[in-house]
Amino acid sequence: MSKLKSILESLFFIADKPLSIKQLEVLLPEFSKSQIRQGLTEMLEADQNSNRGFLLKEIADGYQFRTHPDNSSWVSAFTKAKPTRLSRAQLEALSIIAYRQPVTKPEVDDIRGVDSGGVIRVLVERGLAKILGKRDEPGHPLLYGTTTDFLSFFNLKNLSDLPPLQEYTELGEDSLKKLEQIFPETKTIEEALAEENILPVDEAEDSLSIQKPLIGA
Amino acid sequence: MTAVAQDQTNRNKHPYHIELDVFEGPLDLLLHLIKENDVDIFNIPVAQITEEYLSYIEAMETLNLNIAGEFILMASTLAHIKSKMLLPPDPSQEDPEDEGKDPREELVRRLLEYQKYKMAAAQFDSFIQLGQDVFVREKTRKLHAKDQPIELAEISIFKLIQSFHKILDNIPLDITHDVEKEIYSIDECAQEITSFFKKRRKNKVRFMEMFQKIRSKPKVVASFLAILAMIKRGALVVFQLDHFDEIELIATDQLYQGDVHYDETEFTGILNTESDPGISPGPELGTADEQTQIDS
Repeated sequence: MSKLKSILESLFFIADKPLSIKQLEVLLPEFSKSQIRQGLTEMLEADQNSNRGFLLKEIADGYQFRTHPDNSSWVSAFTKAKPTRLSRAQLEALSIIAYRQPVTKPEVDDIRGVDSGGVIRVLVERGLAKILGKRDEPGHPLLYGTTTDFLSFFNLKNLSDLPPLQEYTELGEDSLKKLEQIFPETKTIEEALAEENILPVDEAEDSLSIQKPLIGA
Repeated sequence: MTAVAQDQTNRNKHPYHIELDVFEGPLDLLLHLIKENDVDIFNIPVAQITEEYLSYIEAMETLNLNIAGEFILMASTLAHIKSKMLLPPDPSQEDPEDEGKDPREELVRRLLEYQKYKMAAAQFDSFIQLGQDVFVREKTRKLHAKDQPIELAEISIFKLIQSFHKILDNIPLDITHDVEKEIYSIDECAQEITSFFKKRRKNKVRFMEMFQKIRSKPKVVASFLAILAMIKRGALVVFQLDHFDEIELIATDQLYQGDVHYDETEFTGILNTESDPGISPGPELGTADEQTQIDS
């Protein structure tokens, strides 16, 4: 194993968060960016089909050692961590936030057909979703998006790593044409995020809007 | 066989097997009915589906389940679509946009839209998940030398308020009938907090710890307002080491210096700049005295 890969392995072994290329560049001034990239690619390839107990994974725009999925029962028995399963309502709201970000609560409500305020709050509390800012329109509704922890939780490289949204299954050709009429070309998540003029959240204002139900209670 | 009759036989077969509560909403229920009846989503037999939809709602009623308003709203939407399809187009309605438009179109669009995310949600559930399928190194605990300042991340006011809600949730419900009115002023609480810090001879206190001994809601509210006021004046700083870590309050030199008093004017500035009248809680937010009246 090359010196570089050996150092990288030590760093990933000790890190409790995914390390980004940028961080690695700073940590390893002796090596060029392309050398580091090359080393990482080789390590990722070597781990691809490896049955070693821990594997290097691209997570949340960084790199991290994660245990082999096949060994989960033994690891969870050791850590005694109870898995944090998300409810169906939470998963639905989260998938809407993930694919439609930046998105407002009324938009999530509209797609699900039910009020999603409570569910969104839980997602924010769990760190899977966050307030990105406010939409530049009357009423300044809060805009929600996913977090780095969201990527980490679902083992994702970045937002483009999300599988494309599937359309209605078992459709005939006629129906598919109709579908195209109903849903014209969609933007990618990155495009949607870049296009939105997100206003910063004024903290003083929001502390009051959050306090409001408290006072009414 | 009519839908109701079919429902009846289903119920007879499994008297207690009625999958009502599993539906996340009216759209979910409709998708279920469409799939169960094997009908084309682009050509929904509205009359049949509406009938089945209503029989589900009826079953909910007999089970005494609380029917969410959304289900009722959808029932009326379905009835509206049904009536529109029965009636010949209204010639007086001069809306060329509506001409020849299928009244079901909007509903179909919503169903398909919801269906996409419903499937995405199922997909998320099948993803490899952290803490369930894969695990990472737990947070590495760094040892700190005694005199070295700890590296802290600044947190937003949201976190602080979230924490505050937790404290409110932890207050045991008062079962006795206590009609005595408690009055706390922000200043009183601020002084208590100041002396709390001075007594502990430590400038760092966990946010939760601050409220551990307080058992009355008005006092908690007044103390929280006092903390906010003190943060504003710079006597306290809020920090959080990492996500999900406890929020900590740190006293600055300002807290130890001199006698600072706080009063209800502390919040008037914030309230006056509030632009949205809809969410303005009114001037009474400022005074702790007023705060005490809202607990019951």
